[in-house]
Amino acid sequence: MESLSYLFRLGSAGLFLDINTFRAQRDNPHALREGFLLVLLIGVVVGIASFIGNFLATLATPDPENLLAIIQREIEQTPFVTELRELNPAFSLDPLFAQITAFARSLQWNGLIGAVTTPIVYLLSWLIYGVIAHLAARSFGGEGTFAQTLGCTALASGANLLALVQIVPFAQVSGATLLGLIGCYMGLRVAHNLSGWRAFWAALLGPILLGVLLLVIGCGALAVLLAAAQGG
Amino acid sequence: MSLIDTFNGALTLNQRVFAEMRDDSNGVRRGFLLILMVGLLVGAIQSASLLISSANPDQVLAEVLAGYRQSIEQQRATATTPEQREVLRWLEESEDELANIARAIITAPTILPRPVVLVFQALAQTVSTPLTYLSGMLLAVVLTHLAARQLGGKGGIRAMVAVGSLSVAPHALDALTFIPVLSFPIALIAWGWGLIILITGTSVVHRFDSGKATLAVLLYPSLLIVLGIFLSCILIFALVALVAGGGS
Repeated sequence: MESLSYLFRLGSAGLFLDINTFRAQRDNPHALREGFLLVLLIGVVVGIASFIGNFLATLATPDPENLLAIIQREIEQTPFVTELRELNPAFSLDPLFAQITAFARSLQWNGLIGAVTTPIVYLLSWLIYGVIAHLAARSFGGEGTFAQTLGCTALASGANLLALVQIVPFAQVSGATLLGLIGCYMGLRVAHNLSGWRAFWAALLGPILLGVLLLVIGCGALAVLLAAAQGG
Repeated sequence: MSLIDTFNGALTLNQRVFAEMRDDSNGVRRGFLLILMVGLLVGAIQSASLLISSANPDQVLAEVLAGYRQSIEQQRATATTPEQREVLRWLEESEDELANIARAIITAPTILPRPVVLVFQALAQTVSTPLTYLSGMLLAVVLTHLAARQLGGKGGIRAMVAVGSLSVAPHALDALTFIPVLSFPIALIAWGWGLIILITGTSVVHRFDSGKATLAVLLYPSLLIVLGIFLSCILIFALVALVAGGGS
């Protein structure tokens, strides 16, 4: 069983784009198992950090329901709402604020849900991305095995160590996705002996497909909303 | 070479430091450490400044209201229809209610005492600043690297990230941007100096002359700006056509 310090060394090597570690991972017969453990460990650690940060942020944030009640009371006293009420006595902000309050209430478990789901999300993203990137790399003439692809792209999840900053309440993470993609590019290039441009397209195919899928879903949702509005 | 020597070498465009960062297998680690140092310095000073200014709720409230009034004045200058002027009148008459909302948000009780909350916010800004610099640097480096490879460059992405990290060094000047009058000139100097370091770094990594390195650095940002302007024009034309169609 791999020690935690070994896995953290692997993660930090991925974070710092250490090419020798990528090569060693390609030639490692246990690359898949170590990759799985690495992604899981990073997910667990980031989940715990995020939970602590969220918990502290909750303690440092005013009660959203009280705040919303004050906001509603003040908005109801504005000339705009007063004039609207004169025109339409049935006008009320209650349904809108009831929805916002319900939404705010549903967010209070976000920290715990995030902590539990982070390792699962990381593992699923790694596996799905790995499958697409492997197929793309092979179709571009890559020579690596599936285990080598996953072993090398797992190192790229070292970039997620940047998300440990979330242990500080209100802190913002940025740069992890781009650094992770650079790591995936290096991993695919090493695992499959690809040229720079081929590795680039293999690394980007998954995110491009995801972007297109989100665009299609977004357009579809917009079309449904427009149709519903016109029908109504 | 120590971190301070690397920092000084980046600021003085020392070619030896650039070449060493390119060839060092620990170049990325050293580059990230440099970003961490600059980011923490800037973040700590800026958050201390923010802490001082936000310690007094009345002062924060006065700033919020001043911003609100300024925004209404700006919109009044562009309001052309009676409906727009009516909305502005409503907004103007709602200032007391807005002040009450802002006061409620600023002074709302929290489980932790207010000084602890302010310290958390300052700490968050401090630790987030290095990541903001890292993300900006990575985007610039990736776009530059793509252009450089298309222009025939032979350098690798790892070397580009290591050397590109040096371009964050002049942003140590951002620590002084809390001085109101000097804020913009200092930020501009830091940005321009960082750009020169990125151009020098690109020429070292890809073994380009300075003209080609400048082209590599500016190619994609220029294209993106042109594309942005083009898309904005299309959007404006589409909106005008939609409004005209709706009117007729």
